[in-house]
Amino acid sequence: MNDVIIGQYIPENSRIHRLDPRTKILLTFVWILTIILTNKLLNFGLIILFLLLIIQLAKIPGKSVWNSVRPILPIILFTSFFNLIYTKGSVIGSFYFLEVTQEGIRISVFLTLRILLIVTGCSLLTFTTSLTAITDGLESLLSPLKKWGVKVNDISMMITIAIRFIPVLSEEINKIKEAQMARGASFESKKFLGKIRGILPILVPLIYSAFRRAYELTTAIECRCYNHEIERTKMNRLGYQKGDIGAFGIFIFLFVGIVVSRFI
Amino acid sequence: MALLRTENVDYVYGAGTPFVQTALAQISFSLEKNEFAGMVGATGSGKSTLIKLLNGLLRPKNGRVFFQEQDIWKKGYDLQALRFSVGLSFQYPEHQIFSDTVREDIAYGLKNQGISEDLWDEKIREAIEIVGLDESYLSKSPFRLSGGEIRRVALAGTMVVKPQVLVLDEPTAGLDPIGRKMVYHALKRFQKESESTILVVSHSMDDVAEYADSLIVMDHGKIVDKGTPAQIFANTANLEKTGLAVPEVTRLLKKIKTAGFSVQDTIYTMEDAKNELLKLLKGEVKDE
Ligand SMILES: Nc1ncnc2c1ncn2[C@@H]1O[C@H](COP(=O)(O)OP(=O)(O)O)[C@@H](O)[C@H]1O
Ligand SMILES: [Mg+2]
Repeated sequence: MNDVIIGQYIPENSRIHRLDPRTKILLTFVWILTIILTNKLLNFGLIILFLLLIIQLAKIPGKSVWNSVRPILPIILFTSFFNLIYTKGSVIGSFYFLEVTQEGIRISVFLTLRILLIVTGCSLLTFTTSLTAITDGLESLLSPLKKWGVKVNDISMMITIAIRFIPVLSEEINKIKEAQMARGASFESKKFLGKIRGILPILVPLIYSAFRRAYELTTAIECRCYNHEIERTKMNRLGYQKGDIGAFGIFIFLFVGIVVSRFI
Repeated sequence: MALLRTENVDYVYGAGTPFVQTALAQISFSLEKNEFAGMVGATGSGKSTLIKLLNGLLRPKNGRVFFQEQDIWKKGYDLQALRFSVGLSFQYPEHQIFSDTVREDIAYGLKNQGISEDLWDEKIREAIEIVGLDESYLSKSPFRLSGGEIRRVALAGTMVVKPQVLVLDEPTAGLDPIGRKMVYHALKRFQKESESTILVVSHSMDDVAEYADSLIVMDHGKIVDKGTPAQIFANTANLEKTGLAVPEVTRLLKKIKTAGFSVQDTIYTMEDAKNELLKLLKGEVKDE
């Protein structure tokens, strides 16, 4: 529990880190689309290899990747379990009244792979891109919307703050949990009601502290005279490099390949 | 026989990630029954980590922790029971409060301990009284109290289960001088009335010098000095190397001494300093 590092930037000097943040944001979307469209086991194998290659290139330790998917494992297990037993089709085995079908296995395996690959892909974005870079990238990508009066600066600021506070809040949860355990609380209750009751001593202080932080942040932002109507200049201007073109090329190739192979 | 002790404990945060951080190395120390100990050290020296090892919230990478000479990480040791014997109050303990009334919050520990509800009232009243608040507070909402009051309510919540060892992380952080005094008075009273051992983590030298019988000095995850306040504050240079300073009154007396007056400079409480200065003043008057 002590090393939850979802959303944590890992500074490194790798090819992936050096890509333009806009490239990485756009390619994350391409990645998600690609995975949703993948429907063959062989293609999943290729995609996993491709992902491992990217992780290798980005010099991200396996443990960090594992930590980013670990929290969602229960959800994955839960959904695949129900897909496994509720999908109708040709039965290949049964325990008591539960029937496992070929289609069920296929759906739950694909679902598991899709969620894992999407989450890993998104964490790679945050592992390799600093928050400032993500904001700059988002702002630049959304800037055409300014014409229609969308407050792009505000939106990107809000997204940044939200991402920035994921590790802060998870640390906070840990701290509150420890404090309640020091008062003899046990969070290992087997009973459902016990579990719900056990959550309150964590949830209430957490919400309270989130509001306290929000107020502090507001004051700090105001003290620095932040004003969304003022166009700010940038210290580091964004610019696409050769590597970005290469990355787009590879991802679009992958995407087209997956789409075409659906029809073969 | 030590009541609580650690033997060569190490602790590392984020092992196996790019953020590895050795927080503690080879820590051995012990607390005796009814001792009032202080732990001082600059920010990041590992104080908060160390105290979480004392009630089994964190498990040391190497080394062992003993309570009443029992290894707390031995198979079958009841860690939950340990947490009622070694009470731990975190920095800003009011941030963990979640109940509508002060009474309910203080009762949380009793509930977790499984104590029958008939006994609650008396224990709660005792606890709120020790921290210097009266019974009218019990029905109030903790979120409406002042900083000093809510801190003492949180303190009562830890004291109510009568821990044999009470460990507090920066109990006076963010309080005004009166609030600080109230907290230390409550601690002294608790120590006397329930014959408990107290360990206070602080980076205010003035506070610990005034109240602690013994001091532990931490620096970069190691214990660099142990002893009575007099012993620790005698060695100013050593203390300053760790980024700490002797109490204000000690500094004052040392300056008076270097200015050529014969005063004792191993004094670290306000009361002793007052007596020493009075002696000096009276002596001078007599000389004339
Ligand atoms: N949850 C944590 N994760 C990673 N490192 C931590 C964590 N808590 C503390 N540390 C690190 O361990 C060291 C000791 O911290 P801490 O015990 O909080 O010191 P202190 O209480 O004396 O200020 C520091 O270098 C700190 O950065
Ligand atoms: Mg601390």
